[in-house]
Amino acid sequence: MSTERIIERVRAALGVSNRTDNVRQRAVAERFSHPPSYPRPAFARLDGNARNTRMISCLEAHGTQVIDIDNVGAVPQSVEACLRQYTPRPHLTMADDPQLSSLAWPVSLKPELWHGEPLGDGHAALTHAYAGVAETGTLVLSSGPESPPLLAFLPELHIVALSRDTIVSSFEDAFTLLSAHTAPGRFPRAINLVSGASRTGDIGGRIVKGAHGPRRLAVIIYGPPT
Amino acid sequence: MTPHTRAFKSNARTALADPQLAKALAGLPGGLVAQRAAAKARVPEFEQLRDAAREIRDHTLAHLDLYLEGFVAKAETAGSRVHWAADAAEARAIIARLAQERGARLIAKGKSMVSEEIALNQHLESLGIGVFESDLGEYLLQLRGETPSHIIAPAIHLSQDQVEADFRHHHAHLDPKRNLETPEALVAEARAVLRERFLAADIGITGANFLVAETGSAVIVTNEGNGDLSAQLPKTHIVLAAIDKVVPTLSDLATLLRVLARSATGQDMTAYTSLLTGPKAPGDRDGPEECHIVIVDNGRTEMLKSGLREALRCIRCGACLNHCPIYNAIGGHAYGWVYSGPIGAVLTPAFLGTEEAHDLPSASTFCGKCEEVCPVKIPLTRLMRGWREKWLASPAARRERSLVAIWAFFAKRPRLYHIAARLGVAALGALGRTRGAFHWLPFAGGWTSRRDFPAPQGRTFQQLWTEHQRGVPDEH
Repeated sequence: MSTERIIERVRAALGVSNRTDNVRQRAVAERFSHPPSYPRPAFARLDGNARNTRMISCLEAHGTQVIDIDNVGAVPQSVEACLRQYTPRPHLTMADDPQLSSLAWPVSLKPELWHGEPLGDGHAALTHAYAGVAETGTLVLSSGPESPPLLAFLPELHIVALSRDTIVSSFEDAFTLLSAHTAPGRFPRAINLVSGASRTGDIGGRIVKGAHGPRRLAVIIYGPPT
Repeated sequence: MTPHTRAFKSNARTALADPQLAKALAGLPGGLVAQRAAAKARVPEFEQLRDAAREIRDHTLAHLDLYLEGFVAKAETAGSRVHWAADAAEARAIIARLAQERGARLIAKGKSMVSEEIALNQHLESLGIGVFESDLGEYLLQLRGETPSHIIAPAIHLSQDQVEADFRHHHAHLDPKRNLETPEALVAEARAVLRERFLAADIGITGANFLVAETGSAVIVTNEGNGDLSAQLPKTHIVLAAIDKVVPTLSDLATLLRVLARSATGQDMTAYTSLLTGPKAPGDRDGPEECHIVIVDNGRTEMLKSGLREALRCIRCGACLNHCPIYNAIGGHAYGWVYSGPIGAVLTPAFLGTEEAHDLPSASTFCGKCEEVCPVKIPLTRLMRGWREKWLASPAARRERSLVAIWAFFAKRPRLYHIAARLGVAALGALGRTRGAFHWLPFAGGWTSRRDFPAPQGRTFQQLWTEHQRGVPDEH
């Protein structure tokens, strides 16, 4: 069926005649240019320290490990501390994120660069979040050569570096940020909103982590305190 | 799937007599219902969010043609191919053609209720194309040849023991002595088995919770991450979604996300919400080379014009099922088709017709709990009542109710009623005099299946009462 025919069917069902219906068109154009602002819960309107605290408490509420540091330079040590918790120690992989790659990685810790090979149990991946949403402790990952979505789904352990100054209060704020930073019509191919490790309740109604994606999620929040 | 909605009454009887099902459903009040209540309590503004969500859905449906056009333009700019299907057959044919053109042998599938509507798996398998369900619950059902009994917890009717038995049977290549006593062990096994298949899949098919017109994105909401592996690993990603899934903007999406997971599982957000917009970009190390979006009508334009528009607000959270006393008693399979619970009672007659599905909207206590918890405030009881009225006005219903009509004829004429009752009671009294009771009576199977019907003593209550008033001594 063609686009025209199905749209015609919808119009007939709605009892509207054709495209000369300016009132409806204006309403839609207005919605795109000025999306309505619906009420946001108070916890989605925080700033400063309250926002930072909300981010951390929500991350911990869904079982994500939080490592809180002042300086991006301490990210490698934090990754090391995270990996040390597990035996056998997971192999660390990351994509070519310019900022993370430029850090002073000890030779023993230096992550392997990912080229698309399958990862699984026994692997950890480090990625850099585009933003964090404080209202639910959600990490916003935006796809690109330096940030492949599969690194958030294939390994057993996913470690995310999140700059404190990219934590926003609400989903609306995160989406505004994304739209502002992408050329018109070139929205990122994949935006992954991650709120905890993979889980399922499909067997006996009990929550088990690591259904398909990572069994564990850890976040390193770096940057000076707010 | 093949409907067996017509057999609802006997399905329900079987379900009520199933102790394993009763045990599984007994977990609902302390599980999903309690979790939703807790999630709602954490959001003082929840009622305002529900109103906003309803308004968004109503606005979108009233401008659906324009938002669909907007979505297509953005999706195509982003490099997706959009296909339209008027009905189930067209949708099946489009996906089969895409699969055959690519020589696909194995398809990874994310959870999709529309794919159940159009019976996609059976069609692909009949063409020799392998399909595996990757949502764990759906995978369990595929092994058993069953269909989902809940929108978001498809295998809610299964016990852990049943899963273990199925895994031992179907994963026969694994060590028969392995320990599968815990849910963790079962999940780990499924993870390993399915991961291999993911890596071998040629095509990934997923549903979409939303289609965002502003960006041309398909939004997939999961907890397992299976939707994302289905979308990102294979060379081709096919999104299967219905026309009512479109939302105008990312800002509208934000509001809908705030009520979706809280209503469904009681989580503030599920683990993964992904906005997928077109195939892999230059330089990307992962992602599909092609992205196709199949948008299906399958009866929805009919619903748009036939007074069922409000039902199209539905965002498939399953809250109305969890809170429904009927669903809690009989589970989802008794409803006999894809959708169960209150929303199933409203949608199914639209898909299958009242002749097939009229028992569903009739099986309601009209307690209204479903409307109280619906995140988009669908007037479910009014819509169910509408179906009831429509069915009762039909010639088929009038035929079915002819016995009631005969009774009504006598009930409206007391003198005639008394004569008939006297004759009936006298006849039953005479027939049952020797044994004193009946083990079986025509039209009274509901009574006599569990207990005997005592033979009347030859006179009606009215006769006895009149005699008593006159002072005639009672025989007893």
